[in-house]
Amino acid sequence: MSLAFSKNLGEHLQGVVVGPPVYDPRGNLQNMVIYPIFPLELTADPPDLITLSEALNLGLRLTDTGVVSRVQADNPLPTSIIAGESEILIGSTQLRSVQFSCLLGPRRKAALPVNCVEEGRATEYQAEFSRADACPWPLRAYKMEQLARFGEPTQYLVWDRIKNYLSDTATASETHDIHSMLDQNSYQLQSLSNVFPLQPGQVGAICTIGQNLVLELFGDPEILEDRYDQVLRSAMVEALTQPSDKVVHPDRVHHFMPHIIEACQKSKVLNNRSLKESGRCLAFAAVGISGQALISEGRLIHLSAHQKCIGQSRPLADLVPAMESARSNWEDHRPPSLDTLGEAYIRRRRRYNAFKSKLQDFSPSDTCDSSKTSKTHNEIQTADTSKSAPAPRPLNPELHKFFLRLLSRH
Amino acid sequence: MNAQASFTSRLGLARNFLIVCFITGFLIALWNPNPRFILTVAVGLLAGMLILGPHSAVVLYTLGLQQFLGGHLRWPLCIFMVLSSVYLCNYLLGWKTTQFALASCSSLLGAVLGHDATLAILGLRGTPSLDGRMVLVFPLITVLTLLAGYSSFGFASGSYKFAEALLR
Repeated sequence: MSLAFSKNLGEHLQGVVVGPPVYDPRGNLQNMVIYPIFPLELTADPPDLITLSEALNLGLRLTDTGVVSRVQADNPLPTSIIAGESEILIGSTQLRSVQFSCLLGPRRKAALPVNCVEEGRATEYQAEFSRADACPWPLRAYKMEQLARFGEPTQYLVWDRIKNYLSDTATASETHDIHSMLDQNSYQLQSLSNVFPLQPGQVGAICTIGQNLVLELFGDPEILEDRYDQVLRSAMVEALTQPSDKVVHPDRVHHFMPHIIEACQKSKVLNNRSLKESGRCLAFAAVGISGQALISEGRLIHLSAHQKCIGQSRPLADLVPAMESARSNWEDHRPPSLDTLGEAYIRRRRRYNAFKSKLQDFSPSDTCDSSKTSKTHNEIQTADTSKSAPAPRPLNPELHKFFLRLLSRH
Repeated sequence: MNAQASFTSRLGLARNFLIVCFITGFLIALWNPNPRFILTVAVGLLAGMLILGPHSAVVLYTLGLQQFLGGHLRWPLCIFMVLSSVYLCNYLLGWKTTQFALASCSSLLGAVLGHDATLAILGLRGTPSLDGRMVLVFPLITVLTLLAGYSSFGFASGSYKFAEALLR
């Protein structure tokens, strides 16, 4: 299966091309460079899935099960939702990070695999998660490695990793909350986000952050566009909290994708019973690279990977001539298909926006206003009941909360 | 906060419940001091907490039965398991109606506690926050408090008679 997966991924990666480097010319962020990834060919049809953040606005319900490693997801929408491993779920309960990328099927309920990323806060049974934000790369890389080796990251090791990381970056957080790093650097994250603009048709990016190489690639440019802010925040927070003036050499960057194909020859399928019908996620860790890929119906939905290139980074100032040369080379020799990529993407994006606007009709908040929509929504709920696998429910929620408090050491 | 302080402060959360247990033991002694009744309640409560409740949680969630009746099967299943177990004991031990009723009520209460405690333990499983000592101590303290309430009645009654004899 690993060889088939590797071949499948290889075919997909042959269909993309790494663009010229983008860096901050003002020198405010000297340890980060982004290489956009473009598709060589763009199909006419946009995807029929949406991101988790958008789904939360359209009526997706994510509730705390009281179990540290599971969040209950109830998707009332007639479309699939991509929950990326890069996402932190935020609500009135302890923060969770999605364990691995997965697809929530249309009109389905499922238990989403998560890790707790806020040790000092108790779970609030049935509390809702209202939004999602980016997870910093060091934690993502650790999760990927653990997933590939053991199938699941050990929770207390995740907490230890977060504590050490917060301590190393001098981030204050009473509850050891990984998201506090983003809060602490929110102003800089906001002000520097326009340094790395998204380019039309772009489907992914390779970032070099200090000695780290990270890749984030989506099957469709629309999904990257909707998640680009998170992709940037995830990488930039690492660049801001571990300041240096070094980045990985461009030559190394161009060998990253072939190395990923080699690494994924030994991959582990990540099982989740309630999500098994909506795609397959595989984790891999080899040749110094750890990563994970979500594949559905033979199509790559999301690929992320990390490599630490110790001793192979150099000051950005020394690499600027090489990067400028790469940029001019790109202008002269870029693939001809990219000339029409922008226009093709605009057409697709228009159709995708129309598709998303139709989903507004399924938003539960609208069901009270329209009897027709209400009926549709009720039908969805009825259909769900037979398919869903409800999470364990206590006989008495108050009693359950009491035991969580009683049996949990503070 | 050190481990002992945390343990004590958390045990304080159960203060009202333990007071109710103590009063129940006292009232049982007041109603009928025959030890078989208090023992029936104590054993029923303990069996419900340690066996019937966790067992019903396991049956519900490993067999996926929670998806029936919109997730409301847990209550009927729990009641059925408790009543059938008590009925079996009644058949073997030949209890009287009062004892059967006491055993049913105490086992059901214990099973509810045991079921929800099991879900909480499963939620905290694999994390350093789970306090294994509290898992063992809480059922023990509950039953000991019940017996303490029962014994207190005997002590209070003996003290009263002793004081009365001295005053005469």
